[in-house]
Amino acid sequence: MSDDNDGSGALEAAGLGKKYRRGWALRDVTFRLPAGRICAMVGPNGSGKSTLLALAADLLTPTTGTLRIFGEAPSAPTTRERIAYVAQEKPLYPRFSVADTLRMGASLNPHWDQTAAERVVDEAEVPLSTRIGSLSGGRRTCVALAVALGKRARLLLLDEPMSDQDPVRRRRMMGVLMAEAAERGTTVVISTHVLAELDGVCDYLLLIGDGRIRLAGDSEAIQSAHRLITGARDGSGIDAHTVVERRTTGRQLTALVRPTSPVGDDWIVREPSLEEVLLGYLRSPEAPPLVTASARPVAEDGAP
Amino acid sequence: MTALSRDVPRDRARRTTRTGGANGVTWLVRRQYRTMFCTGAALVVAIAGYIVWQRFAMTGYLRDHGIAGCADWKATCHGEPIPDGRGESPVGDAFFHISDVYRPRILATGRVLLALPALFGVFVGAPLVARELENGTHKLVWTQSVSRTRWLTAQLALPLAAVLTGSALLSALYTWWWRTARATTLTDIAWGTTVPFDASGPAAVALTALSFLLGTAIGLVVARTLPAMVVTFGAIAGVVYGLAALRPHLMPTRTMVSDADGHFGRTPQHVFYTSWRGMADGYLTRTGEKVPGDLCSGADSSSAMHRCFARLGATGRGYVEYHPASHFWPLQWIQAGICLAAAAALTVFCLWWIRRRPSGRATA
Repeated sequence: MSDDNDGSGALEAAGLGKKYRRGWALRDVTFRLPAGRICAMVGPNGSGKSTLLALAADLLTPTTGTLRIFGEAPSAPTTRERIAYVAQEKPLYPRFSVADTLRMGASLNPHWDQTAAERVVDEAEVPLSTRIGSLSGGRRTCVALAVALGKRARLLLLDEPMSDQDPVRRRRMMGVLMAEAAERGTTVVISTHVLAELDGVCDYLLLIGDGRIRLAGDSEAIQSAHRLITGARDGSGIDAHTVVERRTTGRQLTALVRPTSPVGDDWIVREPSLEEVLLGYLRSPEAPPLVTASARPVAEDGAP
Repeated sequence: MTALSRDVPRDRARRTTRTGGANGVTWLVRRQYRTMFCTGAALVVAIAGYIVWQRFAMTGYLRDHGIAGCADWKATCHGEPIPDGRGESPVGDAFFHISDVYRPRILATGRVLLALPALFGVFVGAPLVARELENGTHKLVWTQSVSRTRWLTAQLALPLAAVLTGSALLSALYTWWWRTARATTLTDIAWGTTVPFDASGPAAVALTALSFLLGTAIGLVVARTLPAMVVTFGAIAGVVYGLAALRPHLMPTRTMVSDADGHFGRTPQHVFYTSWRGMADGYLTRTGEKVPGDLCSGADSSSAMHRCFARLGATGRGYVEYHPASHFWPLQWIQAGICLAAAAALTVFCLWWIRRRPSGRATA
């Protein structure tokens, strides 16, 4: 956090696109993640979350646009030390013991923190002498997380880190992760397709659908930009606002909107939960995207 | 003195942090190939032990039977005549014994040694990167602080250094064994053929390096372990066949010419028996032009062959192209040079490919 005074975000994408042989996985992705945030990257399977993280980890190169990590390209040697990445399939060497795996982390990284890595492994109750190949999926993920945390990176890129964890271990792992992140001001990006996983943990949100950004910004700003309104079925006056989703139940109409002006008195208005906002967008792929001020690249901010 | 003793540890501490990464990759490679290294070392020691044992058993026999330093194509051995047939004298039978016992052992060992580079290329070279790409562990190692160039350099250098040491030891011992045997008897073993040539001297070591790099490069491009292994095996077999076809032409051959009745009596015996013959032979015309023997290989009877050669103007004067014994080491080094150059080119290719890989798809 201390050397983030140059104003560049932890992660900044401009016109980022990635095309595979079968088509575009990401298109025209532009956003900025300020340093020190815990960012939830949400989206259905195959929406491009893994591609975005792999681009940041320099395992892929963009087809279009650029991606900057603390102002530098993902391929820069300094960036390699600054990021830690856990791939979705949590690859580790199956014949290594847990201790060997941490030793590998120590020998490949100049700022290795053995204590931090061992804390994660302890928390997951994985003995150091166990072979990786004999661990359950959830425990193996913990070892992968331990390697990522031991690296002492400034940006953690975690691709579905909690998908194979039972609820108890998930809470514990998130606890360790958040404590480490808070202590060092680490920026964290966690991709997931299970919203409940990140409830109350993240303060930043990135919703990706079909390779495009649909929501980006402070979770609070996103939440407060929306209203859940209920009223008569004919829904007069609703089109004055940006409608994300509308549903009718009986004689009632419920809609998730981004109000452009005060909502009229003939509606019951309340602020939706973050999960309600996300669900609304996930159910309506055509809803217009929203990028809050803090998620806009710096250059764009300066423009009139 | 105090200043000195204070400076030294500080300097050392700084150096360990700076080179920590490089040592680190070394540790990783050592850990990854621990089992394979032990297996390989055991194999090398076993084969080396066998060769040393056989070589000493053979020279012991030569000494005990008074034929050490003799050659069976000479007329006499330490003053005793060497007969042509079996059972005529103990000296003659001693030569036959060496030939009967050690000829199959030397050729079989040579085939085993020839298989080693192929095994190494297929089982170490091909999976080296292919397995990482297949299992996704490249996503783990390539996202650590060490660059993938340095990672690959260590992945290539360490196994290569280990195996070249083993290969150098085995090929030296093997060369030492068969050349002693061939100097005594076994003169019909063409030393320029794949066995023993590719299992001997610097050529064997360079072939090992080439096989490994071939496997790694194929694994890097194919990115799947089993197909990479299969392709590598085919590629190494192709290299060995290619080298066998190329070898006679690496140096200009010499030609020995017979009398008008087909006897090569004019050629000194030691030249004849120590040379590598068999790459080309035939008959000369009256004007000295060569009529290669394979022009008439289609003839199905000796009279048909006579008519064929007569039609081509051949006389009874035969010729044989050969590489003299003095060509053995130059040919070894030339072939080694070719293999090492190819291995170096493949190394450059691998290092280039691994840096290029993330941008594998064209930018639109």
